[in-house]
Parts: sequence; C-alpha cells; structure tokens
Amino acid sequence: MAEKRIDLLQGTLDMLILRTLQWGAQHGYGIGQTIRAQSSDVLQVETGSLYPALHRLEKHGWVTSEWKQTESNQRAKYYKLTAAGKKQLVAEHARWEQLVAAIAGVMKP
Amino acid sequence: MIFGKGRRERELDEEIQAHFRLAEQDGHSAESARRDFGNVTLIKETARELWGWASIERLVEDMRIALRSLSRTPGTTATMILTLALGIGASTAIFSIVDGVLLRPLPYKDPGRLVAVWNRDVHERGPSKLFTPYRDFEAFQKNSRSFESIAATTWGGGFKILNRAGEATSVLAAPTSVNFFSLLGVAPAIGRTFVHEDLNRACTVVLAHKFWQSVLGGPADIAGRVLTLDNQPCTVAGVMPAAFAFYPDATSMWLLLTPDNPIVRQPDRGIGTFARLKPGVSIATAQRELQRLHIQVYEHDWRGARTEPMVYPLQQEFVWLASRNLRLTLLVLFAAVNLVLLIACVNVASLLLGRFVVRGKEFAIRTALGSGRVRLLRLLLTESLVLAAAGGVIGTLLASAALRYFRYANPVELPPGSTIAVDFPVLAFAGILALFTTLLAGFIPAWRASASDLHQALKAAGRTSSADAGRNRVTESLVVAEVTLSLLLMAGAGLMIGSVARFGSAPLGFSPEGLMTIGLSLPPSAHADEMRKLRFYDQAAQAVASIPGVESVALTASLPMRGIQGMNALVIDGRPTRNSGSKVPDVGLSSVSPGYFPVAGIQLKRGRNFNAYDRAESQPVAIINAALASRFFPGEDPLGKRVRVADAKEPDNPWLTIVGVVADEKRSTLYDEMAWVDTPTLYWPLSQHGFWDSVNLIFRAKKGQSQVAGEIQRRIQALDPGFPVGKVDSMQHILEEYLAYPRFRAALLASFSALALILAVVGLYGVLAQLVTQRRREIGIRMALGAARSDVVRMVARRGMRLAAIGIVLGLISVWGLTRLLTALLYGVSATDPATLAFATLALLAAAAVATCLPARRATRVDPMIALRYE
Repeated sequence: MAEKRIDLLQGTLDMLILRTLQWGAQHGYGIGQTIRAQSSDVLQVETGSLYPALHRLEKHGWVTSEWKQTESNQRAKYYKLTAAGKKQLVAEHARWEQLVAAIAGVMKP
Repeated sequence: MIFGKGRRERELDEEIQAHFRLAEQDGHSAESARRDFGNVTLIKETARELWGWASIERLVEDMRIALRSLSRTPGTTATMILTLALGIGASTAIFSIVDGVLLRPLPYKDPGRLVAVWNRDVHERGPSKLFTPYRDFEAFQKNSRSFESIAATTWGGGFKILNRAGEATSVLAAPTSVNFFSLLGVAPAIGRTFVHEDLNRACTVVLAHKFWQSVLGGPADIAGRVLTLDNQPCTVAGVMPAAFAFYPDATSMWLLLTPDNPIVRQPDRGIGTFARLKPGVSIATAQRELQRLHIQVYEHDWRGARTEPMVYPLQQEFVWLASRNLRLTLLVLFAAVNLVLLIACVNVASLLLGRFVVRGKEFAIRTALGSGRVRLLRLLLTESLVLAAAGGVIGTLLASAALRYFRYANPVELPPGSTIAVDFPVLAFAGILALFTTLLAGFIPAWRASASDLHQALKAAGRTSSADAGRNRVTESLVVAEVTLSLLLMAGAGLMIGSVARFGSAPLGFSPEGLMTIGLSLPPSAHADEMRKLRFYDQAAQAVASIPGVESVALTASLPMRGIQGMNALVIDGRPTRNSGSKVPDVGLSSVSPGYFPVAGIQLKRGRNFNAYDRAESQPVAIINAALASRFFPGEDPLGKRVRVADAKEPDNPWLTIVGVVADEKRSTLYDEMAWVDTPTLYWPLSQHGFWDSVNLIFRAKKGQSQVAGEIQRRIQALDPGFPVGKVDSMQHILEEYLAYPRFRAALLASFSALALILAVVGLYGVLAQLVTQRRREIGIRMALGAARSDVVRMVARRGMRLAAIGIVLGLISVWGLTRLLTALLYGVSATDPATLAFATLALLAAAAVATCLPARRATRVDPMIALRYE
C-alpha cells in the first residue's frame, strides 16, 4: 500500500481541502480522512502539511473556523468554506484541469 | 496582539489534541496517532510563522539581547541615553512652543478663513501695519463681496475708567463692532454677545472671563447688570468663556462700537479690521477688492494714495502682534535645537561604533554560529532603538519640566489663546524624533557591522591594524561634522549675546538709573477742558514733589523708550509748503513740563529749556531734538526758526518758535522689538499743549521705589478719588522688560551651543582615545625604537587638532551662509562679525586642545614592553 502513496504537488492540497469542504463543514482529522477515502488511500495527507495549510487558508479568508461538537460528542475545530473560498476553488479547479490537459498532451503523443 | 497570539497558540494546541482523540476513536492507538502526526513542534512553528507571531518573538529576543549587551557597559549606555535625552528633550520643548504658536489653529470656528486687514504706508520701506480708517471699514462692510463678514475692534486708546465701590481702576475696554463675536464663531459662557438692538442703547459691554472672575468676583447673575465706565452706565450683555482670547490679552471687556463713539464720529481714525473670507476666495482677490474700495473712499483725499489695505492670515498676524520676531526666533531656535540633536545622534553613533570595534569578536562569533547579516543589523538597530526609547522618555520628561519653567518665567509674549503643553502632537513629535535618532545613530554602526569581514574580525579581534582606517575615517568625519555644527551654533549664540549686550548698553539719551514713573490718566468726560486737566496734572506733580525723599518731579506725555504718541507732518516757515503727497507724518509730538529734560537727564544741546514763563497766553514755543534738527535744519541754526504742526483737522495751528535743541532719547519701534530709533521729535510746553488725557509723571527719589510708591499713590488718590491711580514703575524695570525677550532668546541659544560644544568635545575625546587604544602597539614599537614622548604627543595632537581645524573651516563657511538669516534678530553687530567668529573659533580650539590633551598624555604612558607583550 505504501508504494501507492503519492506526494501531493505544491498547491494541490489547498484545492483538495477546499473541495472537501464543499460538502459541508469538517474538522482537520475528518478532512484528512475524506481525502484519503476519496482517493482510495492513494493520497495520504501529512498532518504536518494539513494544519499549516488550514491556517493558511483561514488567513487568506477562504475558510472560517468554529469549535463544535462532533457526533461522538468530541470538541473539534470545524472549518467551513467562505464565498471567497468557493471562488478560489473554482479558479484552482480550472487551473488544475488546464494543467492536467497540458500534461496529458505532452505524455500522449 | 500579544493577547491574540496567546489565544491562537492555545487553539492550535487544542486542535492537535482533538485530532488525537478523533484518531483514537477511529481505532488507532494513541501512540500510532502521535507517530503519524509528525513533528508537533514543527507544525506549531510553521503556524506561528504563518500568523506573524515569530517576528514579534524575534523582536522580543533582540530586545533582550540588546538590553543585556547595553547593561554590560553601564557608563557608556548612560552617556548615550543622557545625550539623546538632552537632545530629544530640548527639541521637544522647543517644538511644543512652535506647535502652540505657529502650527495649532486659532481657537475659533473655521480659523483658516480668518484674516486681518492692515493699512500699509506705501512710502515705508520696512514693514508697515496701521489700523484701517473707520471710513474704510464701513465701506468694506457695505460693499465688499469677498468676505462672509467683516468686524472691527481696536485696542488703541481703549482705556476707560471703571468706578466701582468708590474706587477707580483703568480697564482696557476694546471698542468692537456688533458682529465681532459671530465672526469668530465663539459663544459666550454667560448671557449673550452683542446684537443689533444694542446699537440703540447707550453702552453695552461683553466681559472677558478673567476680568469677570478676578475683578468682579465672578457673580453668576452678571448679565444685565450695570458697570460705570468713564462715569457712564454700561450694561453687561454677557461673559466670554475662559478659553476665549483675542489680542491683546489685557482686554478686560469689549465695548460695543455705537454711532456716538469718537471713532465713528471721526471716521479717519483707525480701527483693527478682521474678516472671514468666503469659501474659495483667495487672499489676493480679497486684497485687490479692498484696495479698489479704499481708493473709492479716499478719492479726493491725499491720504488715499498714501496707504493701501493689505490682507493677511489672522494666525500669522497674531504671532506678529505678540512679538515682531517671534516667528523668526522660533524657527531659529528650532533649527538650532535640531542641530544639537543631530550632534547628539552623531555622538551616540560614534559611541555605538566604538562599541562595535570592541565587540568585533562577538559579532564574528554570532555570524559564525549562523546569525544572518540581516539579523546582526537588526540587533544593532534594536540596540539603538532601546537607547532612543529610553532617551525619548527621559527627554519628554525633561521637556515637560522645561515647559513648566517656561510658563512660570513667561519671558516671551505669546499670541492670545496659544497654549504651550506636552500634548499629543508634541508626544508624536518626540516619538518621531526617537525613531529618527534610532535610524541615524544606529544606521552607520549597523552598516559597518554588516559589511565587516568575518575572517578578519575573528583573527584580529581586539587587535587592530591599518585595515581599520576606514572605520576611523567614518568616526573622524562624524567628529568633523560635530565641530562644524558647534561652531555654527556658537557663532549664532555669540551674535545674539553681542546684540543683547549692545542693545542693553546703548546710550539711551537719558539716565534711567533711579528714574521712576507713574501714569496719570483722566476720564475725558470729567475733564473736558484743558485748563482743568492742566491744573490736575500740576497738583499731582506738586503733591508728589512735597513727599519727603522725592528729589525732583516732571511730567511728560510720552515716556522715553516707549513709542511716541502722535506722528504729524511739519511745516517750516519760509519754506515752500510741501505738496500734499509729501505731507509725511514724520514728526513725533510730546508735551513736557519745564523740569522734564533735567529730571530725565536729557542733555540740552542749544538754546534754553522751557520755563515757568511759557504759559498758555505767552508766545508759542517748541524744543526739538537733534534728530529733527539734523533732518530739517542740516547745517543751519534751528533756534528762532518757526514751525507749524500740519494737521488736516486744524489748519490754523499756531507758529511755534524753536527755543532749544535737546539730545535724542531712544525710542522703541513698533516694527522691531530689538531696535532703538531716534524719532525726530517736537516738544511742546505742557502749559501750552495740555490736552492729553493721560501723562506720565517722572521723578527721582532718595529713598527706594517701594518706600515712596504707596505714599505717591495715596497723595494722588487724595486729589480726586474718581481717578485711577497707576503703579509706580522704574525706568530700569521698563528697560529690563525690553531686554527680557532678546535675553531669553540669547540665553537659550547660548545654552544650546554650550551643549553642542560639550558634545563635540566628548566626541573628539572619544575618537582620540580610541585611536590611542588601537595604536597602542604601534606607539609601543615607536617608543621602543627611541621615539620621544613629545613625538607621541605630537602624533595624537596632530590628529585631533587636524579634525578640529577641518570642522572649524567648514563651520566658518556655513556661518557665512547661515547667520545672515539672523540679521533681523541682531542689533549693532553684522551677521559675520569678525570678533564673534574669532571668539567662537578660539573657544572651539581651546576645547579641542583639552579633548586632545588627555588621550595624548595617556599615549605617553604606554609602556613599550607591556604594549608589545599585550598581543
């Protein structure tokens, strides 16, 4: 399983977090788990990158945070997408698609 | 900020804990969760970096290092802080005066649009600011379109006699137009200000707060009450607030200018005109309009072409009214004090640089251990910031103490309503100064440090070689700059001191020593007829003369040194009457009793004095002063010549025969507070021209002033209790008052230059002492090879004196350019007075010699063996 893990490209993590939050507010652990599940365990988010990334997004104003209770009655910090965050997600998604198409063009002669 | 940091850091901790709990819930063991999580500290560090906490922490860290290293050398640190505190304190104190007087807007509504209108005498080459004729004021008020409103007030001859409870006092009741207070936009504290209906009432006044409080005792129900002024009942409309002030500060009340006021009835008399410009109207436009109106008013009158109205911003005119050269004085002092601050910065910079030389090894190690250059630079700047902050705080305390003294000593008349206090703008200024000094004092050492060669510093730590020549050159040029600035300040102070000395010791034409005076004033209503006035003046003189201990008594309409009362044109018998255009009112007029010239000590040059035979019915005579004689009778004998005082209102003035010529008594002038002028003056015998409402009694007494003063006041009071009795004053004291402001100015500048000199000497000493330390080894070798002590002394001395000499030469060059700006503040010395410059040069050289002497002597005590072994 370890060999299947891929290091995320710089900047891609932000997009993935924003994408994950599109379905609703989520805490840091949950975001990590979601990305892992959605990528069928291929994308392992390092917590060492996850939390600084969350704080970075918050500083940019793309997400806001709030302390709430989880279903299991644990206190956790939930992150929520802002309007600016949604716009940023659209922009990053578009750029990502451009990048994928460009790389595909190079790789498939 | 700090609070925010704590909260965020706690939150991050909690967030990480929450992560572990959630992971455990998912079935991971606590241990694996922690392992998976990675480096917690690193995450915190990254987050901290992200939110900008790190820079603060680093600053705190830098501060700690700076404090530690500063406290390691307490002597130097204290010197640096004290130097900066003196510099910042002096600058801040002067700035708060500059701020209060020149910068802060006047305490009126929308003060930027308020202007003063003066009449300028077109023949006067110097400044000329006369009241505008009331006729002009009326025309301006009626016809001008540039102003929202135009109001008038005057302080010329506004003294009235207030009779209260059987006691008479003289008060300044400034005649004022109805709209004066609404022009300024200030509401009264009690009652109301003037309204148009008051014009139909006989007499209405608005009181100044101070007068209401101190003279009347501050009764709350004052509005509507009646005061007796010049035997006339006047209704009090209201009281202005304590904060309200207008020129002059001595105004007790404002008296409504009613149609029967002498100024309105004789509308060629002048009045102060103040106005508010309409928004968007420039001063130039308004002035052109007023000049057009003035020409219309005086179309067929010679006076029309002689003067023209000029419009100036009110604030500027308040400063001018307070003191002619106040603006220039403040600017000069401000420039001087900032030069002192600059010198202080230079000294601190060179001390910091000196510390750096010693700390070369420390920096090298820090660099070797991975401190970036930027970090080193920050460290040095932080050090100077700590110094500047300490200097700034102590300096501000010094400034507020100095200002307390300034307010107490009150040496300078300030514009009305100006408050001198350490308030927000002043504190902001002190803060900016502290930052500025940080950069200035810290930059040079920081720059040198960051550019230093690591390897060399490590190798040569403590030892110094010729490679340090560059570093020395920086310090040496700083010292040269200090000497230059000190010379500039010393020259300025020297010129001021010289001026005050000359001004104070100028022959005045009379002897002020022991001469005393008391004013006698009469209500015009009480003594409408001249004979009765004369009788009263005579009786007063006799009453004073009969007091035991009083030696001699005389009367005069205008005191020596004071400006002269009326200025009129003179017509000389046998010469063509000068045409109207040249009827220059250039002769001052005064009436004196026969005893005046001998009592005042004014020398009779020719002819005779007035005597008891010069009476109302005898031949009209006059005595002229030397200035008048040389102006109108050059090379002629004026005795026996006949002259007439030209007056538009009284064309039939009698011919006066000149019977004597006296020496000039010096007079002050309206346009320059530090000048004596010889006004051409014609003296009438008081017995022939006794129409004055007030005269001055002068006397000499064997006893002291305090002993006779009370008796004099009692005897005059006894003549008529309805007349106010003035205070006995000595001419010496009046002279002192004239000298107080120039003296204060000179003393301040002198103390700044003394401070500058001390700082420069300390700076020079520092550089030379450093030189001796650095070259100890070289000196040791030289001495071991047989150099005499005198050679070593010469070596150090040559270095020191060369720096001083370069500084002095540069200083003399800048003196040449800069002291010229002081010309208006000087009396009797030229701006490049050679004696002053020579003295400043010698004083600096002597100080430099002392500063050189000590390190030079230390150099001779270098023991060759120890010096060589030391390294």
